[in-house]
Amino acid sequence: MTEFLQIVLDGLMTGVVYAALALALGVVFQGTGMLNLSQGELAVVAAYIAWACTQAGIPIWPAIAIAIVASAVLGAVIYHGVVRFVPPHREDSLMTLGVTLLLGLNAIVSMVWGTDPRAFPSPFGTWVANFGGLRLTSQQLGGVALVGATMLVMAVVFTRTTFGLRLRAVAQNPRSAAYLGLRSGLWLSAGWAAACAVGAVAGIVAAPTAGLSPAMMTVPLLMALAAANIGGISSRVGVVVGGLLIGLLTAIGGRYIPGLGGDLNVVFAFAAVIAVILVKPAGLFGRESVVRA
Amino acid sequence: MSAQIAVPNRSDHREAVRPPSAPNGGPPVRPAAARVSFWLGVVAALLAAVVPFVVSDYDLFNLSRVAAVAIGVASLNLLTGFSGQVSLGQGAIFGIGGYAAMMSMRFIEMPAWAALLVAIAVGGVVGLVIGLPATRMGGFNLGLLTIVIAALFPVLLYRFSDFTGGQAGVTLSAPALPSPTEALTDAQWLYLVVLALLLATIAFLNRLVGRRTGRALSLIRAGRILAVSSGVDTHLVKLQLFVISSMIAAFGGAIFAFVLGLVVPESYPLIFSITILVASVVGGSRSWVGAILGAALVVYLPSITSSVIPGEASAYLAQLVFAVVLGVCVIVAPNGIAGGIRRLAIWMRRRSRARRSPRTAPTASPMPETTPDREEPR
Amino acid sequence: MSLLEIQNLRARYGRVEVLHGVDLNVEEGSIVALLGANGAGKSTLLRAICRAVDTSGSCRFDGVDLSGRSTAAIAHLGIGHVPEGRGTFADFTVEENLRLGAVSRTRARSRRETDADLELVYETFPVLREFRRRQAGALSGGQAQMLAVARALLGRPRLLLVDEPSLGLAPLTARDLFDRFTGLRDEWALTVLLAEQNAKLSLTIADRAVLLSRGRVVHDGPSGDLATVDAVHADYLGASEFDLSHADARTKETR
Repeated sequence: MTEFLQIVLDGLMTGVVYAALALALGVVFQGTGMLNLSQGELAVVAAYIAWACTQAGIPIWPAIAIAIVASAVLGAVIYHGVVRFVPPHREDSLMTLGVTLLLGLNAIVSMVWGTDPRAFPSPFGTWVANFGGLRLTSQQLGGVALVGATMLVMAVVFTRTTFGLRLRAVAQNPRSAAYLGLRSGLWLSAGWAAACAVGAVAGIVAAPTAGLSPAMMTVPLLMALAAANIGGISSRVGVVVGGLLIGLLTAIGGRYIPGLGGDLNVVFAFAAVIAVILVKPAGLFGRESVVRA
Repeated sequence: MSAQIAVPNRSDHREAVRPPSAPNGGPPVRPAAARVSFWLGVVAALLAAVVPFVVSDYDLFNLSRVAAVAIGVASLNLLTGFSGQVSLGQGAIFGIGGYAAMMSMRFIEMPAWAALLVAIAVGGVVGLVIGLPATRMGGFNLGLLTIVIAALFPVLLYRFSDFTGGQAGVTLSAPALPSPTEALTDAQWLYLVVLALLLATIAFLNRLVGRRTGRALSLIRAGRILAVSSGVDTHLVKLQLFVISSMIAAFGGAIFAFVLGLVVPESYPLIFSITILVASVVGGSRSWVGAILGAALVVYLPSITSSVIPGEASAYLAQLVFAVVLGVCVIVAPNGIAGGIRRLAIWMRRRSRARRSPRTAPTASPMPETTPDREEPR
Repeated sequence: MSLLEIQNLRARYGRVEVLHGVDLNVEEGSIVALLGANGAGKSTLLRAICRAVDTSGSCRFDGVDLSGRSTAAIAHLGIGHVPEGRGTFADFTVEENLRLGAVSRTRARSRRETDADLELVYETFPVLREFRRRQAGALSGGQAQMLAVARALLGRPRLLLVDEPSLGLAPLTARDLFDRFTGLRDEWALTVLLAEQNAKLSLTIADRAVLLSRGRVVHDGPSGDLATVDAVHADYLGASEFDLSHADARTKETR
């Protein structure tokens, strides 16, 4: 029983990274209709920026702050420099653009920092907590706290502020928003910035355990895609729950289903996605848009 | 392999099926223009057939690689260009075909032609297994599932190394397609065979998208609801296309493996699948010539960049160049290099006509997909 | 000087030109009805004023040239647009929709002023107050149209462009809505340009009527005139309800 609880706990701890990445995917998708396949690579960039800052002698927490801000700026720049030129209704072009960014960022990271894995210091120290036989590392607890705090901030910004209201308005109906005087370009780049900041947190939380390398976020990205699909990419709550669920499912599956584990966990995650989507195509939390005829 | 796609036989409604302003089959080809491009194609094919007798075996090896990759890219064009579905796993299916062919030759000692058939069959099965859920779910799910396949394929190859040879892969002790005559070296013979297979594949694909299927496809691209209301079973058509595309990709992959003489997992990382997509988009996903151009880019770009930067960085420089070219294509030239050339040709023809009769109304052949219809206020 | 001066305005969708040089002046404080059959270019003219379509020609608002400005920037100049199909945000509550309307206030106003205007809007449209926590997508057609108009009012526009407000409304509901426009003009110091297919209804409130046909202005004068010009009426207004043979095949984009 203790073992099972430990696995559940570990699964949820891994799940927070997927959840954060899935949230980033969801925010971008809602804003620009783009499934941003480069979200994982953007998180890698963030982790490398933080790492480079620590190498330059900057303490870890300011380094993380710098990385998050830089990621937000990078997100806005990518939207403004590339994404806005693709017509929003061309799903295939947008998908291809995600691939383009993935290729490009991966190449740049590999050229600048090399492909050898590097040790990323945990900002949360290295102690271990024991609760009645369950053990939790400081990295796990700190990661959950950091992602949780980030999500709380996002939730408040999105639902309680004028900024969030306007952002959502542009995402929902850019034409109407423009008639009201909202410059959609500005607000969509704000959306990209917010998404990339959240993605950066995912990268920074994942780096100490995964080891910093250009391919670090490939599996988490696939998991986040699965999470977004299970939870429903149109729902911010849904993608987060989806991320935790995927973390939980893969941890349990990896332990109790023979032959699974490691990279093959992705198979399990996507089997779950197919099962959910066949029953509920919009995902568990995906809303069918309420429109009265 | 069945080339019949389920389209209701309603030839009397042929005109009604054509949407008025939908992005359908591109500019109507004038008979004269068709004749010109036909003869251009014949000349190019003849030239390509002469090449083996004037260049080195190494160059021939590279050209054979281009032709094999081009089959894979053409199979993706069938999806992206002609039905608007983006697959990120074409490279994996290409690799599956390679493994299927090589393993059946190595372990069951099949003849090469039978191994190709095995590859096609395996490709079809894989296409069915992926396509069945993906086309049902719609939206971006095809891209999602295929990227998972692409990411998993190399992992599975390592995981089941007893079966696949792991890191070392599968090699053949003798060339898969040895030259039957003294007059031709193995490389020359292989090149000619691969070239012939490429041309046959393109002829097949061209027939496939030219007829009723092509019209059904343009409806699907124009919008699912329109297609459904015109009596096209979109799921079925998309699934059939996906299966056919997978079969051709596997076929191309088998030929590619024959050209290389081996299959190893590191040939088929996720990035390779993505590169195939790059080739499709950059070459021009609605053109068969574009597939060859794209394949040439995939094969030759890495060697060009390695002459600029030595070592590991050159591979990433190539990747970066791919990314930039792809980005430029997505934004500036959605129809790739081939589409760009065609657009240029039409523009020049129109200009010369306009010069002859300056007051002619601009009602030249419509090119709907090149007009980015952005009415979004920004 | 007129509030809105349009000269030789052309607009196109892709390669298809829909407006072929429209001249139109709108005087401050008037209600101008823009009439015409389906595909005559009414909606396109309103969109062209906001530069939401590919547009050429001159368009001046209060002396300011609108060319080269973005749709959002034009909203900030004081032009409110109630688009065809209302363009409300279905997932947002009524009050959130209304607050979004305050984005384009010409002067940065305090929150208190916005709240006061909100109160004013609720007094004009009590039903919106009643449903202010309800999702906009769950409103009926008439309520959604009121919301769209009210939302535009919160931007404190000087010129209000209203596109087919009667579309999909029951005759009585439409009548009720139209009766409000005169009052709104006086209370909110508005100028209204109203694109409408229902000529009879619009002529009851309009000071002036402009008749569009196939992208050109074919009649422009006091609304009383038009009602009596039988030939025009039969050709363009009576016909419009039954005979759409000369309407463009262009399907209207609805988002």
